Amino acid sequence: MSFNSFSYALFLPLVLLVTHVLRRRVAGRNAFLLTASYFFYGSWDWRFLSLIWISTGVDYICGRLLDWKDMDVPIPDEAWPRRKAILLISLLCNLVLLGFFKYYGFFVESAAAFLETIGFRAHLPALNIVLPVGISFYTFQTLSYTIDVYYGKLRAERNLLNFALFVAFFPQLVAGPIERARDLLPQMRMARPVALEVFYSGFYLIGWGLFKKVVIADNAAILANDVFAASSPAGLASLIGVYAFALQIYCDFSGYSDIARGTARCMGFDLMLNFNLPYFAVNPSDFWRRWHISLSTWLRDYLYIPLGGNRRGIRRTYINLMLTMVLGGLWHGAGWTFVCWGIYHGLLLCFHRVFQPGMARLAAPLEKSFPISWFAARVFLFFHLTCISWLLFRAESIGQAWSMFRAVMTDWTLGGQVGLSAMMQVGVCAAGLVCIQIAQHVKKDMDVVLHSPLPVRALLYLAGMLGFIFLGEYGGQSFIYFQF
Amino acid sequence: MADSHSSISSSDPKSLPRAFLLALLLFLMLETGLRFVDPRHLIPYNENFPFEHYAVRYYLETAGPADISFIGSSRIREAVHLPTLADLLAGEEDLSRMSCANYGCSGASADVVEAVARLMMRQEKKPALIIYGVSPKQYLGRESNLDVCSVYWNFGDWYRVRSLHGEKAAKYFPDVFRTAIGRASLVFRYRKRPGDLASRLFSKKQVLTCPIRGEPSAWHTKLAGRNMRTTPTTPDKVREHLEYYLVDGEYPMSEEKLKCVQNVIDLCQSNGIPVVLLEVPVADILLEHYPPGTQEKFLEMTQRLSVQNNVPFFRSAELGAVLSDESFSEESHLGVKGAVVYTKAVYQTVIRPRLKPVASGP
Repeated sequence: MSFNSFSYALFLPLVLLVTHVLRRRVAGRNAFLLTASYFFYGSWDWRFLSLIWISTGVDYICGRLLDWKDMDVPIPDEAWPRRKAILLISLLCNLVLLGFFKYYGFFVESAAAFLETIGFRAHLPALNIVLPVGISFYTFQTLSYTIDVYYGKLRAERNLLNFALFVAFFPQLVAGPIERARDLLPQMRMARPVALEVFYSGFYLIGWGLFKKVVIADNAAILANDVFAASSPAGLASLIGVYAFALQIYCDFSGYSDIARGTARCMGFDLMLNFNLPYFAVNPSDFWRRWHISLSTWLRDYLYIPLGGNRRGIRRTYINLMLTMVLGGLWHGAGWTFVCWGIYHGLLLCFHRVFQPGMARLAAPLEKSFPISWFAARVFLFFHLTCISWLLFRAESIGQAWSMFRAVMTDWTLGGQVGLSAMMQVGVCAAGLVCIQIAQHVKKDMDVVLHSPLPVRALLYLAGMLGFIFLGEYGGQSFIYFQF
Repeated sequence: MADSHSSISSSDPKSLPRAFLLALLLFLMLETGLRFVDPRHLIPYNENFPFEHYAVRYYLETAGPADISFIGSSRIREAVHLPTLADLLAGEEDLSRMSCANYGCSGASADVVEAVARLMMRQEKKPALIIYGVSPKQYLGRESNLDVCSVYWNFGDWYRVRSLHGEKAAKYFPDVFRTAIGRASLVFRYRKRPGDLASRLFSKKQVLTCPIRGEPSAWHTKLAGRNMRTTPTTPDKVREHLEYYLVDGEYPMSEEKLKCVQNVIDLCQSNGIPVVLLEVPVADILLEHYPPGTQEKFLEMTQRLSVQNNVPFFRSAELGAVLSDESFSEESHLGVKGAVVYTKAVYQTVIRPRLKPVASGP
């Protein structure tokens, strides 16, 4: 059951109604929400519910065993070996499941290809494993809980029902945001009656997210798919295809996050902001503070910092950055294009770290004299650097990415891959999105539409309705991040 | 990230319903405004799937079926030249007010035609004559083309088909729901028109002519000069065309599809509408490449229907239209010249004798 499906349109009002009725009975509400979440997930493939149950059970038990009752008292040295063993059990269980379902095929294929290049013809067992939807998201979410309890930053959850709901909470179960236990679990423990205005703002978020998905992302997908499916698209067509994909992936994923946040908000839960105008980033560090914030902060807190972060010298900092980004790339998918995507972002971060101080000094006069133009130029430049990464992300192979990149650099013809009608539709959608985002950026307010004067708001809502009607793609296309 | 969790109470959307209601009001004004415009000119027409079916549905729901309605696949759509028929009707005093339209759609087999006929019969205005263009393609395959048929369904149809086909049909509920919205809202119904007009304006393409509106078919306009003498069809091309449909070397005509034609006849007869089965002409080269027995089986099935239901079945040869390679744009479809000749013959042999007594009645 996807957020943009008809069945979700029936499911959501029912869940909201029952949640409202049970708003003062925490246990009843949580039991209902857990059942609804399992139903939601089971509608894809009920067999994979068992993986969620394993993850829930293992991390609940490990959490209880790791629980440190007095958080003000440091954990004594003699307790650490036992704690490490328990943490290892949790890590192994979760990562083995993730590795098996997500990476087995990739590693077997890569190993077979490698053996063949050195002269061995190996017949490694290939299992056609279906990737359980959302496994990367809920695995990371439960891991963060156990790691926080391990370090004594968080008390373990005693109530299994609350913990199971934390793992399986349906709005963010299949594609995030990857929530932290310290933020979400306390919300699960208390009654959360929803004020009418909060309900409205949640409803607005759902509408905005759906608009981004159904109107913008799915139209951009038509354009991008046509270009990436072509055998050798012309340069200008490739460029348009990459722009379209940049728009698609942003609106698809941030649209999902908005619907997730809106749904949770309508039930009285607050999920974290996952996207903060990422295409207004002026450098790679800025980009990762704005794009998929829940994953980038997870990688920072549970990978980059434990690896030593920037505290162990310059060389080690670069190694840590590269490792974090390569693993971040692999998290997205089991494929060499994702590895290259991670390497590319790692390199961008390293180069930025090297050249940023010098560049800042050189650019200071420009920034002072022409602040807006300088900002726009930086946004423009970094957007195109991001587009190169999207080329790697979307391409079927590194060869395809390279041939499209070469075409963009050498051949400025349009070819026959881009339909005028699709381009116009995407252009109209993109223009609307850019206008709203400029307003959000200038006013520094993500809810700029909600805070605009009544006539403006009404016209924007009308434009939204007409956008849905005239430009909406109702094929129910899957969200891109479901495959991760 | 302390700022990642935006506070729920940070926004101030107290006036959201007012703005939303105002937007709804503006929308209703637009909807009302549309009802003052002749909506038939707003329905976008495109001969490609699925837009052609949407056009058929919306025309039927907006203007009702024409007095003389042609149904079938693209073969009947291309076989009839409606301006010629309109001229012929205009020449007869008592037939001059009769409207004509062609609801033939690309690739439509009998189950799809049945869905069109059901929608037609639900309209208040009924046709005076239905001409069903038949060819072996009408009986092609056993499986129902539910994806196409669902375009024409209402909730009742969906429920009926669901009880026959189960989950295969159930999944089309969202499409039926959207159809229902399109039935209620003109803005939704004509939603593809602005984009269609804009893209044609920018690409400097002509707006397609629409046989549902009584105009020539879009192919007749776009490919007016094309025929099989100037652009010959090779045997390889015909074989490639047929290859797509063949199963184990046979052209698979089924009793299930025959039943659908039977249902169309039943629907017409129960509504008191005369119906005629008309063999649609195809080029000799296509007939020669059908697997042996295909044409004979088609004729046997159609004649059986004709006799059982007392419905006239006209063979192409009986109409007296002289068709040559120059008449066909390719092996399956008549070009403009052929369609003009064929339309005149159909008018003289099929339409006039059936409508003249009605039109000249009390």
